[in-house]
Amino acid sequence: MELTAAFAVPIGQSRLEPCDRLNRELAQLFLARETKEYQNPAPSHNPQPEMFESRVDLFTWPEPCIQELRKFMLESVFRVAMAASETVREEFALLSLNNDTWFHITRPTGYFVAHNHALASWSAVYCVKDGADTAGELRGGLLRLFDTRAGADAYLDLATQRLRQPFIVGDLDLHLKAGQLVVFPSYLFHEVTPYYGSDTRITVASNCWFTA
Amino acid sequence: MNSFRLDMDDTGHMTALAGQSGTVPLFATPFAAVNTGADRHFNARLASLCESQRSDHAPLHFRGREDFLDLSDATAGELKRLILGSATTVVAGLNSIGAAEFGKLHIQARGWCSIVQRNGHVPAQHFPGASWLAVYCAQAGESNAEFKSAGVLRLYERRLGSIYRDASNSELKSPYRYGNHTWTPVPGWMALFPAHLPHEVSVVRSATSLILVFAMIRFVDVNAKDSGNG
Repeated sequence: MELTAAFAVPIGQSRLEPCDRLNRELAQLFLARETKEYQNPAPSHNPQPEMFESRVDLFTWPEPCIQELRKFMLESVFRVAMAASETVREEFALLSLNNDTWFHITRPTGYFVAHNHALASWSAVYCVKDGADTAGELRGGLLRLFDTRAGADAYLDLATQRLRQPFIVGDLDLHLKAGQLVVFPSYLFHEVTPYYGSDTRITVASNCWFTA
Repeated sequence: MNSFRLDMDDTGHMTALAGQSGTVPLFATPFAAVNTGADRHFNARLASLCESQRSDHAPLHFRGREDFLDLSDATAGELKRLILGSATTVVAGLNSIGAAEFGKLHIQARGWCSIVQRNGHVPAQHFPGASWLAVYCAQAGESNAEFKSAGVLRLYERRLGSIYRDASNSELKSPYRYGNHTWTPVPGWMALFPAHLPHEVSVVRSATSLILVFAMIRFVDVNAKDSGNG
C-alpha cells in the first residue's frame, strides 16, 4: 500500500543571515515613516490603532535597505514558486514577478484579522523585529496559517485523533524570528494573533503574482 | 435566466423548479442569533457565577471547566434550559424531520464559561464531535469608539475561491458576499452555528469584561445503531 500526501500546501521558509544590520536600518526607517503620509489610505480591513499599515508600494522605495530586502524576498518567492511548479527553470526566468508590499508595526495588543489575498498567487512575510522580550520570550504575535481542510476533523474516531504529519488536520502557528521569511500561497487564510509583548513587532508582507 | 431543466442534486432533491428562474444560496451555513428573553437580573446572577469560577491569578481570557451547565447551582440549570430550548427550536426549524420526531431526540451538551478582560481574546477554535455550538452572552461592555469590531464573535470565511475577484464579485451582498461574519454579543442573546466552523472572539476593548458561556451540543437518536456492519 502506498501512502501519499495529496492536496498539499507548499510553504517555504528561509532565514536571511546575517540580518542584524539590515533589520536595524529597516526598523529605523519604518518607525520614522509611521506617519499619515505613508499609511495605507485604503486598508482592506478595519484598521486597529495598535497596528500601523503602510502603503503597498514599499519595494519602489529607493533606499538601499529596502532594495536589499526586496532582492531577498522576491528571489525567495521565485525559488518557492519554481520548486512547487512543473514549469521548467528557463521558462520561469522569462516571467515577471509583480508585487504589492507593505510594512506593519504592531504595538501591544495589536493583531490582524484572518484573511487571504485575492488576485495574488504567493504571499510572503519577513520579520524585521519579532518583539520578543529581553529574555527572548515571544508573547503572541503568531502568524497563524489556517488549514485549508476546515471541518475535516469534525468527526474524529480513535484512529483519526492522532494523525501524523503531513496528514494531521490543524492550523500552523509560526513564531517568526527576526530575519525569518515565510512564503505561502495567497489563497491560504492567515492571521496575526494579538501581540502581548511590551516592545514593537515589525514585519514586511508582500503579495506577488507572475506575468509574462 | 430561462431554464426549463430540472436540476437535481446527488440525493435527488430538486434545487430549482422547471420554468422558474431564481437565485438561491447554495451550501449555506446556518447562523442564528436568538434573544432568549433572559433579563438583566438573571444575567447578573450568571455573571457572578462565572466570576466565582475564576481563579485569583486570572489571565486575560479565563476558560472555565466544561461542566458548567451541570453545576448544581440553580442559575446554571436555568441557563442550560434556556440554551438547549433555544437551540432545539432553531435546529428543529432547520430540519426536514417532523417536530414530533425531533422532540424525541436526546440532547447532549457540554458547556463552559469564558471571561475575557480588556485586551484579552478567545483565540481561533472549533469543536470536533459536536454538531452545534451555542454562545450565550451574560455580560458585555461598551468599547471605546476608536476600536472597531472589538469583542465580537467572528466566524471565519473559508471559501478559497474568494481569491479570484473582479468588479462583479467584490461587492456581493449578503448572503453571497465573501468575508468573515461578526456578531456582537448582547446580554441575554445567544448565537448558534455549526461547531466545526472556525471562530474567535476578537480583542475586548471595554472596561467591563465580556462574559460568555459556550456550549457544544449534539442531538442523539437513542434508537439509532452505533456500530457498523463489521
